[in-house]
Amino acid sequence: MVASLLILHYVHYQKSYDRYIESGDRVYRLRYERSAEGGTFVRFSSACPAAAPALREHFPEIEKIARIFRHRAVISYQDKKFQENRMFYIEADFLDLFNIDFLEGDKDALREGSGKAAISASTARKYFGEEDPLGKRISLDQQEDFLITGVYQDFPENSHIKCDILLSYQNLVASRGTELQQSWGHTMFYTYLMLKPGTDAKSLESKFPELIKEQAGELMEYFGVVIYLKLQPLYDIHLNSHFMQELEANGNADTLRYLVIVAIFIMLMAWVNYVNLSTAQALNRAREVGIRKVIGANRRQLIVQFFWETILINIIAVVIAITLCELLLTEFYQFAGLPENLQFLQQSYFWQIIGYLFAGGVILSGLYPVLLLSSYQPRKVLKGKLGNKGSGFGLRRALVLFQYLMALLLIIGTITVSQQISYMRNQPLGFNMEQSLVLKAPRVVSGSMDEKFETFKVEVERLPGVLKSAFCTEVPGRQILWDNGAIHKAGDDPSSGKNYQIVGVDYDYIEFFELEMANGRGFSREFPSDKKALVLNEKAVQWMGFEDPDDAVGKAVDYWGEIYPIIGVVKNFHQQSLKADFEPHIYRFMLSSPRGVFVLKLNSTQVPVTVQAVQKIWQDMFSGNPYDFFFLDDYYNQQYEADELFGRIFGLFSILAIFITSLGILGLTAFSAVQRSKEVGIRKVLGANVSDILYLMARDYIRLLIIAFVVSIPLALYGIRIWLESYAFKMTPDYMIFIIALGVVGIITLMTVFAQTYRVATTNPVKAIRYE
Amino acid sequence: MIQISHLFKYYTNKFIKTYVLQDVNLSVAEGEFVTIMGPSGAGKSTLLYILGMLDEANSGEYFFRNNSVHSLNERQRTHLHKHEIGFVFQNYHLIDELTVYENIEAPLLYQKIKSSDRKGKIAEVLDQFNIVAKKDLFPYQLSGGQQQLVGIARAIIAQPRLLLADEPTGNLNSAQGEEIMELLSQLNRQGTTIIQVTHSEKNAAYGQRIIHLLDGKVVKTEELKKKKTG
Ligand SMILES: Nc1ncnc2c1ncn2[C@@H]1O[C@H](COP(=O)(O)OP(=O)(O)O)[C@@H](O)[C@H]1O
Ligand SMILES: [Mg+2]
Repeated sequence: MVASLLILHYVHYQKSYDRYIESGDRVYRLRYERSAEGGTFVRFSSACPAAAPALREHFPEIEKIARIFRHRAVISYQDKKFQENRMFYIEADFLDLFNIDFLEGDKDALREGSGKAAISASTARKYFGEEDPLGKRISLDQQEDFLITGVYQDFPENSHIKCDILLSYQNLVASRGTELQQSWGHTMFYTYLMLKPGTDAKSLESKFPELIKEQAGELMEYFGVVIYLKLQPLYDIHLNSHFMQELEANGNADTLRYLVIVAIFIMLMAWVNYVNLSTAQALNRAREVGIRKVIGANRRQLIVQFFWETILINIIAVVIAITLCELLLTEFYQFAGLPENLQFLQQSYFWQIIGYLFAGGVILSGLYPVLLLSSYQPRKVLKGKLGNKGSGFGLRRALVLFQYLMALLLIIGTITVSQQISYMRNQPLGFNMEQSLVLKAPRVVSGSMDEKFETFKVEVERLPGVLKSAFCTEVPGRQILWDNGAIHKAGDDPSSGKNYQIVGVDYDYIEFFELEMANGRGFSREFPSDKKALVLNEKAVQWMGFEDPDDAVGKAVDYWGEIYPIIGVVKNFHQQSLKADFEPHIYRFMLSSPRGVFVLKLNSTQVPVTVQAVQKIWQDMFSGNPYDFFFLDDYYNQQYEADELFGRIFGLFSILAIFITSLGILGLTAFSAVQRSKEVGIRKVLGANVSDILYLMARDYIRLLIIAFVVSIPLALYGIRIWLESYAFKMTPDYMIFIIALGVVGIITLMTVFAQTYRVATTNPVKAIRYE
Repeated sequence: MIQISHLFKYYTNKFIKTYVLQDVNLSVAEGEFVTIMGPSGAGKSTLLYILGMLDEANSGEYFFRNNSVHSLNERQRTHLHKHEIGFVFQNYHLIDELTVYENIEAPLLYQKIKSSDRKGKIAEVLDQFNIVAKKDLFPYQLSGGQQQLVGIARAIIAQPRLLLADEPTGNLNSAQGEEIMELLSQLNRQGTTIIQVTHSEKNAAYGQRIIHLLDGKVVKTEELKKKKTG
C-alpha cells in the first residue's frame, strides 16, 4: 500500500506538469514541422519567428500569443560571472500566459522598449545576495547592458519551461536583425498562445496551411519542402512531447503507465493475500459461524459482523500506510529524483487515492470471504464435513496463481531492464571517450576566434597531463541540435534535399575520438582545400543516395548552393545512447564557434592537477568567461539515468512482489500445516517420511507455479518486445531470465513451505492421530 | 516375533513423571491373534504405538523379528514399520481428500511400488473386501463399517506381517463389528499376526490370548482354549 501510494504520488507529480498555469487548457505551444520531398520529416518543438505575427494578425480567436527565444550567454555583474542557459528574450504576452508572479518591480516595464531584464528570485540571490537588484545593470557577454526592472518568483519545478532571466525582445531584434524575424525557415522561436474561450484548436489548426501557403509558398517551392504549424496542448508537453529542440528532457508517458500498472498489481497482490488468508481463516471460523447460525443469527447480521472486521483491518492498514509514507517520503524523493518540497499529505488527490484504496480494499478483500462464510450450511459445518478442499479452495489457488504470475513477470521485467541497460553500456560505441575533459567554449573573445582557439589547444597540449585536444560543436552524448535541410548530392535535383545533422569539427576531432574511417581521410592541415570539404558518416552516405563509402569519397555535396567535396566517410558511431538509431551526420570544418566545446584527453594519473593547470591557461586567454567543464563519460552515461531509475523502481517492486507473495504463501502454508496435521499424521503412519510430507505440502504450490510460469512466458515475451521497441539497439532477450525468475520464485516458495511444514512433518504422528 | 521386556513409558509434566507403561513384558509368536484389554487410560494405545514403532519407550527392550528396535535409528525403524506393520484405528483415519482407491494406494506409494503392480494389488484387495463399486467415492460418502473396511484394506495392502488394530469396532454397530472381526480372523488364518485392542469380550474371543492391562501394568494373561486355526 505504501509502495502504491508512493508510485501514484510520483505519477501524479509527473502529471502535474504545467497545471499551475491559469486557464492552461486554453494554452497551446505552436510547433513547426517540415517535410521534404525526399521523405524526411522533422518535427520541432519550437516554431519559426514569422509564425506568431502572422497568426496574431489573421486569427482573432487567438487571445494572446508570444514568441520567446533562448539565449545562452555569460552574464556578469561586477565581479560575478555565470553562464546562463535558461535566459530568454520574451514578447510581452509571455508574462501573462505563464502567470509570472512579480515579487518586486514592475511587470509592465518589460513589455516595451529595450534593454530591460527581469530575473527570478534565485537568480537575484545568486548575483546580488541581499542587495536590491532593481535598477542594477547586468552585462551580457560583456557587450550589452540590461537594466533590471523586476524580480519574479521562480518557475515551479513542475513546469516544462523554467526561465532564470527574461530579456526585452527588442534586443533580440536589434542584435540578430529584423530579417530573421520574418523567416519561415528558422526555428528555435518557442511560441505559446492562448485561445479565446470556446475556440476549437483543431479547427483553428486546419486553417494554418492556407496561411502558410500564402506567406511562405515561394520558399517552400524553392526548397521543395512543406511547412506545417501544429498546436500542442500545454498539458501534453511534459509527458508526450519528444520533438527536436525541446526545452528540457520530458517525461515519458509510457514509463508512467508501466508504473501505474505496477502500483495496481502490488495493491491487488496485497488484497489477494488478504482474501486468501481470510478465506483460509474462514474455515476455522466456519464452526463459529455454524453455531451462530444455529442460535439464530441471520445472514444479514453475519455479513455486517464480518464487514466490520474487514473495515477495521483496512482502517488500520491505511493508518499504517500513511505513517510509513510520511516516514519514507524523503528517501523516496531522492530515489526517484523529485524535488523535495512537495506537500504530499496536504494535497487533496492524496486523500482521494487513500479513499479509493480503502474502498477497494474493503470491497475486494471483504466481500468474498464474507459471502463465503455466511453462506455455509450450519448442519454440514457442525458435522465437521468441511474438508480443506472446501469452498474457497479453488479461489485461493487462482489467487496464488495470480500472485505467482505477477512475481514472475516483475522479476523477468527487472532482469530485462537491467540487461538492456548493461547491453547498451557494454556495446562498443565506435569512439573513445575515456579521460576526456569537455570545456565549454568561451563566448567572449577579443581578436580572431580561430587563432585564439588554435593557440589554446597548443598551449594546453604543452601540459604534461594533456595528451591531445580538439574542438567541435558537439560532443557525443546528446542529440545534435544543429541540423540543416535541403542538402543533396551535387548535380542532383534540389528536390532530393534532405535534413542532416551538422557537426563543426577541427583537424583533430576524428583522431581525438579515435573514429574509424570507412573510407577516405579526415580534415588535414596538409590540404588547405580541406577547409571547404566535408566528412560524412555512413548513414549520411546512404541517406544521400551513394552506393557505399567508396562511391561517396571524391564526389561532392550541394550544401545550400555551395559545392563541397567529400574527403572521407567515418563509420557510424553512437553519438547518442543506444536508445537512438544512427543519424546522418555531416562534419564541416570549423576551428571555432562560441557554441562549441574543447575536448582534452587527460593522462589518468594527475587529473585534478591538470584540470587546474588548464584553468590557469583558460583564465589567461579567455578571461571573463566561466571555466565550465565536465567529463565526457559521465555526461554520456547520464543518458541512461532514466532507464536506470526505471530499472531500480522495477527491481524494488519485484522484490516487494516476491515478498508479498511469500507472505501470502507463508500464511497459507501455516494455515494448511495446522489443517492438515491429522492427514500428515496418517500418512506418516502409512509410511511417509519427512521428504514425502514436504513434497505433499509443496506440491500444490509447485504446480501453480509451473502453470504461472507457462502463462508468463508469452506475456513476458510480448511485454519485452513492446518495451524494447523504444530502443534502436536491442539486446536479444536471453531465455535464461525465465529460468532465473522461475528459480527465484521456486526457491522462495519451497523455503517458505518447508519452514512452515518441517515442524509438522517431523512431529510424532501419534500426537496427531491420538485424539479425535 | 515380538519380544518385549521391562518396557517403561512415562510422560513428564511439570517435572512429575506419569508412568503410562510400567515394566511390561510380552512376547507374541508369528501367526498369533492377541487381544489387549483394559479400562480407558490403561495404556493400551500407547503400547500399540510402541509396538508399531510410531512411538518410543523410555526404557526396556523391544525385539521385532530379531531386530532390536530400541537400538535402531529412525531410518531403519521407519523401514521396518513401513514394510512389516499395518495399522487400523477406531476412527478409521482415512484421508478425507482422497478416494477409497487413493487411500488404499497411499502406503504403496510410500514403498515406491511400481504403478502397474499397485493397480494389481489394489484391484485384488478391493475384490476381496467387496468394495470395488465404492472405489471412487470419498470417505464421507461411506458408512462407518465401509470406512473401516477401507481402513483394513489400506492396512494390509502392503502385506504386513503384523496388523495392529486399536479398537477397530469401537465406532461400529454390532453387525458391522462382526463383519470386521470376521475379516480380521480370516486375515489371521492367512498368516498375518494380529494384535487388537478391544473392550468387547465377544471380539476378544476371536483371538487366542488376552492380555489385561491396568494402569500400565500387565495384570493377567488369559489363554483361550479354542483355537481358531484354519
Ligand atoms: N502426550 C501425552 N502426555 C501426557 N500423557 C499422555 C500422553 N499421551 C497419553 N497420555 C496418557 O497416557 C495414558 C494412557 O493412554 P492410552 O494409551 O491412550 O490409554 P488407552 O488407550 O488404554 O485408553 C492416559 O492416562 C493418557 O492420559
Ligand atoms: Mg486407547
